[in-house]
Amino acid sequence: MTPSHEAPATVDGGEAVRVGDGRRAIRIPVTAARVPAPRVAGVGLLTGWGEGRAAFEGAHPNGPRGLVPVPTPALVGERFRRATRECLLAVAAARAAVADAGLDPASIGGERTAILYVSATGYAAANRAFLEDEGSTTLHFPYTSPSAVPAEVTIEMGIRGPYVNLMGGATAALQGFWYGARWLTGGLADRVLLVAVEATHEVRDLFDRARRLYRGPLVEGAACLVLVPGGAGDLRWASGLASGGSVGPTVDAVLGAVLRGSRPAHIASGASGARFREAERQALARRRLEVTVRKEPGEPLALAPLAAMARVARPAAGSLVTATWKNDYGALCWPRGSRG
Amino acid sequence: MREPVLVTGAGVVTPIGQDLDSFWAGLVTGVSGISEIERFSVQDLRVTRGGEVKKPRAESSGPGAPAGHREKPARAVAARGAPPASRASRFLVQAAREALDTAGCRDGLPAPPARIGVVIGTALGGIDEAEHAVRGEGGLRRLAGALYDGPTQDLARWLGATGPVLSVSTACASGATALGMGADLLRDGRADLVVAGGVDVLCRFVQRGFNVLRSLTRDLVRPFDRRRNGLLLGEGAGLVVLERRRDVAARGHRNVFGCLLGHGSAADGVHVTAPDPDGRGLEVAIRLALQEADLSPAALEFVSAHGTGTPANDRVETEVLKRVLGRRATAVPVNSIKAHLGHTMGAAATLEAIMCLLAGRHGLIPPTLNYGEADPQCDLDYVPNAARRLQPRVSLSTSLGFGGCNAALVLGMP
Repeated sequence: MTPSHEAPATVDGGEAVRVGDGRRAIRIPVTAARVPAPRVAGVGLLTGWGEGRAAFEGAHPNGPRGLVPVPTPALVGERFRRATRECLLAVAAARAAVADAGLDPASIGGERTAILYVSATGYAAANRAFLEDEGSTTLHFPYTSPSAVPAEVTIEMGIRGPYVNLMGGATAALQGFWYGARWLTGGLADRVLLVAVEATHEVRDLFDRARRLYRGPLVEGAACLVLVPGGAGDLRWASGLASGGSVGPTVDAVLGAVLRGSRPAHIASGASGARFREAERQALARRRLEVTVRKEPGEPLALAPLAAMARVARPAAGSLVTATWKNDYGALCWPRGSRG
Repeated sequence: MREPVLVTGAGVVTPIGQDLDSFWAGLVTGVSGISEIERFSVQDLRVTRGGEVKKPRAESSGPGAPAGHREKPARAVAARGAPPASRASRFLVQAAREALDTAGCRDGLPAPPARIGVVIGTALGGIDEAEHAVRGEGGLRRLAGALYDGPTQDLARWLGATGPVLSVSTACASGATALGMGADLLRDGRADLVVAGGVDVLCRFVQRGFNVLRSLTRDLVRPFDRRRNGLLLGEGAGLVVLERRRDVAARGHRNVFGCLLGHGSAADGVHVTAPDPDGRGLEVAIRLALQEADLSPAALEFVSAHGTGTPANDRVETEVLKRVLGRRATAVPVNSIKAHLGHTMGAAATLEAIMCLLAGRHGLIPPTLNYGEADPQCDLDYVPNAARRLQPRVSLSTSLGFGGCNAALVLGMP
């Protein structure tokens, strides 16, 4: 069997894209996962710009370069004495989202609440501290595991439902939306807490060395969305790895797979890098669409899609949220009426 | 029952063997891969042993081209620039070669790159690269490799896969969650073939960490034995090739390892490192996996336990299995292969899933090593010290990890 770069006859989705001089069609067979859309019942958002959506949206696009830190939430109690700043941020965001959803925190516990945690950097500070301090103790080590962050949320709220952590940048957050919606559709949970935390202050020198991976400034924060059943229509998610000459066709195929004829009124772009941004602009223009929601003035990594959804999911028309991480491009098409 | 997902290929890198045949032979004959750690400094640590992979093939002849191997992977791997930097990535590439070979994909994948997904579970990601990166060694490439998704991205690049790429980190349950999510990518039509599994490497970071936690034993690893007093770490990689049944039939591939019938995950919500003493999260995960498989506990003929050899883990697992299996609990064989390999962390659950499928294929259940004294709190049939002739048609594999992560897989014969 020979690997084929041409679309097989049986592909049930995707786009045919003509590129270059037009003599050869590169077909990238991307199919979107379709799952009944959930509803966003609550939002908790803490960033370096302040708490809540208003602070996020009010951030100045020409704000400071470098890193925008987020203050550490003051969570009292012996259990939080040893927890890292990432853990405290996650718990604070989850508490805020549950309150925003009008839920009694005491009702969240048990196996009918699921949790999905996404992050690109939510372990880096603890890992670095343990790596550099040979005399360090358990104050660091168990918290070097990314799973320590959602663990503190599950302990705080007594959550015993489905549980997955996805590491990566903003595209991992889109994967989280898909999987959370899947749990709800499958009846595995009554609600899903989708949690993202990015805390980079303690490792800013390392991220300064990696600035090519993201657009700056880095913005710390934590976000939590409470997803519940009851959205309208199907949520569609697709992604693809692209590099070199395949950026344009990949972006086009991913967008074609999630849009499938729909025309979202709100388009929040999380595309990073000139090539991805231009490819996305062209792909949208071919469909007579354009980005409607300006980018956040900074790079909140895995928080970005959650923040974008918090901003665009309320309107009555559909939304498109895109994201990149390294050379992974993802898109999520969310039908109308998803914010309740 | 949901659409069956078949395991059409598998590949392993372990302390007892760097291919399926030697892995299986080591499991059933009771080989231990535990030894003094040689690759990094451990003299100052309380416990200096672990399941270290000595001379990985991918390193002995240079990454990307192991000696004597048929170098014809799915894509032109060697042409894709420098080989993966991290040990975790090299383990994955080595396991992927075997997985593709056994899946009948030696000369190419039966799907276009955009239809190939990669899902990797890891408890540590590219941590061995991070050890270098924080010392200021290497550039952007090393730094990117140090991230948790570094090994996943490296494997996708090696495969030439451009479909969905997911990095799962549910600690030591990661390798199970990755297989479950890989199957879901197929069921949702996001991919036509998924390479899924887990990986982790021994390094000073994690060996020191578990020393600090005092979770490691200076004795033998003795799962379910009354004398058990801790685990030893190991390293390795396990990968499987997952495909929908109809696609496998269409390409005429017959060498199928088995089916991934169901998976489940659940949180403990109790403690960051210790399991829930009542095992409620693990029980939820098992019941969700059985629900997805549309099977009752009565269908289970074998259980591959997490079985770390720590006092708490083995007692909790035993209690949960007794609740799930009911009266049949003492009649269903349960094993742990942690004494063979050490605890391979993110790779453990995938390696154990592969073991379940090989048990079904060969009609043998590998033993639990170093078992000598029964514990009244662990009173199931643990297949002590000698392989048992039995061909399980349906197996359960359980996993627990830091952060209260629990996962379960239900596996069946094709």
